Amino acid sequence: MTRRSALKLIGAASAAAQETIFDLLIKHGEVFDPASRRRGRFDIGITGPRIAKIAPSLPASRSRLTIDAGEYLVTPGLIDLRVHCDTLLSGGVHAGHHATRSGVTTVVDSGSATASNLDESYSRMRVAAHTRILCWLRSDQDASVDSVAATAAKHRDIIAGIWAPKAEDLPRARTLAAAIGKPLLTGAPSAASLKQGEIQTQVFAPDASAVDDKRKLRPELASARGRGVLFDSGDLWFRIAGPAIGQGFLPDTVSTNLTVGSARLPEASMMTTLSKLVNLGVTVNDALERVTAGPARALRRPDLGTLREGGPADLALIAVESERRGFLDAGHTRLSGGKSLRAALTLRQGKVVWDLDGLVSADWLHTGPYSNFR
Amino acid sequence: MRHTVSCLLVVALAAAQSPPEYDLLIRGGRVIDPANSLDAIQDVAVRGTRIARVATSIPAVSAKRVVDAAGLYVVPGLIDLHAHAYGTELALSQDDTALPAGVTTAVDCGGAGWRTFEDFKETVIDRSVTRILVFLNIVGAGMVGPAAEDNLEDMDPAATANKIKQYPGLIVGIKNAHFGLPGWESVRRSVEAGRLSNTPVILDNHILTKMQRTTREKLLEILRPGDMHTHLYNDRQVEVVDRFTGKVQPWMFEARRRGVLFDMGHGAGSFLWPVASKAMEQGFPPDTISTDLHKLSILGSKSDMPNCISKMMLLGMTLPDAIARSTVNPAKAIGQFPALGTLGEGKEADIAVLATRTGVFAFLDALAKKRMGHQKIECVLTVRAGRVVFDRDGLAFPDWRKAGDYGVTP
Repeated sequence: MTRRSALKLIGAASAAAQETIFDLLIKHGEVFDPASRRRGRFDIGITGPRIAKIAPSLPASRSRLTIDAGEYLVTPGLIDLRVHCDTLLSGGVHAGHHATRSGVTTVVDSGSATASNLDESYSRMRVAAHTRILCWLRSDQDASVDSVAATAAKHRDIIAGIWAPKAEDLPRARTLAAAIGKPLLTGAPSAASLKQGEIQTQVFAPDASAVDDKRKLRPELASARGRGVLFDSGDLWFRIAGPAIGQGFLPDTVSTNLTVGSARLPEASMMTTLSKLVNLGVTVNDALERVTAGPARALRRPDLGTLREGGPADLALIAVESERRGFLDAGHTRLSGGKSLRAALTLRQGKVVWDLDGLVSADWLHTGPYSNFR
Repeated sequence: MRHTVSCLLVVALAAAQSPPEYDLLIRGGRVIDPANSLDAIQDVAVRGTRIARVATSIPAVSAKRVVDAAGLYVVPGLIDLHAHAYGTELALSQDDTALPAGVTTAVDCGGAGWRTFEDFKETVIDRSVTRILVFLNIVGAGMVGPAAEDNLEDMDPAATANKIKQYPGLIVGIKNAHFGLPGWESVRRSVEAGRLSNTPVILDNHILTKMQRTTREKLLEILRPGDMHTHLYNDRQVEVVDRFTGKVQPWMFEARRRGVLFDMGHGAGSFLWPVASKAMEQGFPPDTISTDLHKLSILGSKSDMPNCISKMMLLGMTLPDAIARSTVNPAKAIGQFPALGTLGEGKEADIAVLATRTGVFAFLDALAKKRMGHQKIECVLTVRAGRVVFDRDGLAFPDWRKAGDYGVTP
């Protein structure tokens, strides 16, 4: 070897060394990321907790581990805009269990905490959560605006906004939301009075139904939407969602309003909720947009719900399967459907937190002897 | 003639108008009730909170609500002998995670000790839809960390036995877990509490060879017939399979002959494919199938009861055998048979409806190593004390287009 060719080799080696080595490469997946308008077959390279590279083709030789996602949709980790996950309160679910198995990497707790007990409530929610938890702070008549603003300043990243349970809470909640510069969410029927950026949930439930007694779309929804009011699904009643979707209405975001009760009857986990909507005629893409770009916009968090280089490696691999089965709704009625969505893999900050299909797990016969003897 | 016909009509109409005899009828499923040696297509009728009838053909009109279970398995509500509902921050709400898995009875495995039991009862047990029974920790403070679990001074057999006698049928035994000191004192005191209260002991202790403790001695000399060891299929506790020869240890067969019971207790570290496979090849199944489900183990290997049953079937166990080890066997182990673990008429109506799904599935062990299989057991419907508490596919409810106004179907 001449000195010159040796130098050339060294140069090539150092160039290769400068190329990022991925910890995980997700190849051939059908990427759907409405926020960045990215659709189609892309490879995604992940290094540590972040997405390092998204490109039409990335070589497997650059990655420690490669999975073939050819059979799956690859989406940003889903956002569930409304759950109940303080396990000390009756009905609070284990966020980790319900989020990870549904491809959800961000949940927003709905009013379990006020500004005064956020610390203790949040520490319970976080146990083995393996998911990002944000909080809608419950509007609190007693706490001063200043103290709520102080709490919000201290916990800027985890506070989603203010939750107004009842119509009479709205004025106070609006004051608090303005003081902390975050959105307001309410389950009380108040579409007619809400303002831009405020969110009306429960539009597919009798509480704040999108349709009237004759199952006709309420006209105030269109005018509210014109003002920039946002709509969230919450509890799902087929008798409301069916006619509303039939008349062309889709909420801006889809949430589960998950509790210990609703997780059992009607099995309101995110994948099942999306499957129900798809079987009511919503396209898979429309449904997924409402749990990614939709809630990111509602939360005013453009950093969430999208896939971008340098961003957090929060991803879901979703399979859409044909299967005849029934689904139950919050009003305890059945819908016969032929399609189901299933989360095969959930990645949170680059870590595999759910691997239903064993995509990253080694086969036991090929791992050599292993033991937990210590 | 005409008169007779009209008389008959009147009688028939009256019969039709009288309220249905049963509240719930699960029709046409394959009923597997090992305690009654029943494995056949049968109908199960429920009245109020109890099972009223199990028979070959019960008419649909005799029930207010009918579930078509054709193609499904109807089994006694599963009993998870190793659950965590209290005492550790990793404990789960059983109503959240047990009921959707077909589990109607969860036995909390040592979360509370005699000094914390009443708090457990008030804050969790009395508020749960799931029936929660208790293995009381020999440690008075319960399962609150290594310091407490090594504290011999807080292991009081008499106080533990007294608490058990105060709550018969609710506290069903004694747990000793994670004891990290040399010797056998924690096990001896647990067995003493068991002798005083006439209840079994369930152990969860590591092999600590440096501390003069071996498995053989523990199992053969200290445990009584009917006492249990959980975590059968890891290799740092009972060491069911010799890690050098791959043979099931002779003392395991000897302990089983003596009546010591072995529980699966899958958990986050205690089901390994190499261990389970070798043990099953040599004829050493767990007496009871259980999950050791907590906030961590529920994520990694998804090891709820249907998952554990599927894994045992992958290793060659039949479904009826797996159901026996998930119903009647645990009921007997905790002295609750025949009140629990069977579908007999007059029994509380705790029922699980299961389905087999075929396809290609990955089953992850506690160290996330996968083994591929082609069938998976899933829970589709759970009845607890006569009430439908989980219904994945809406089998017990009307079609939404025919459901009328906005009332919630009860």
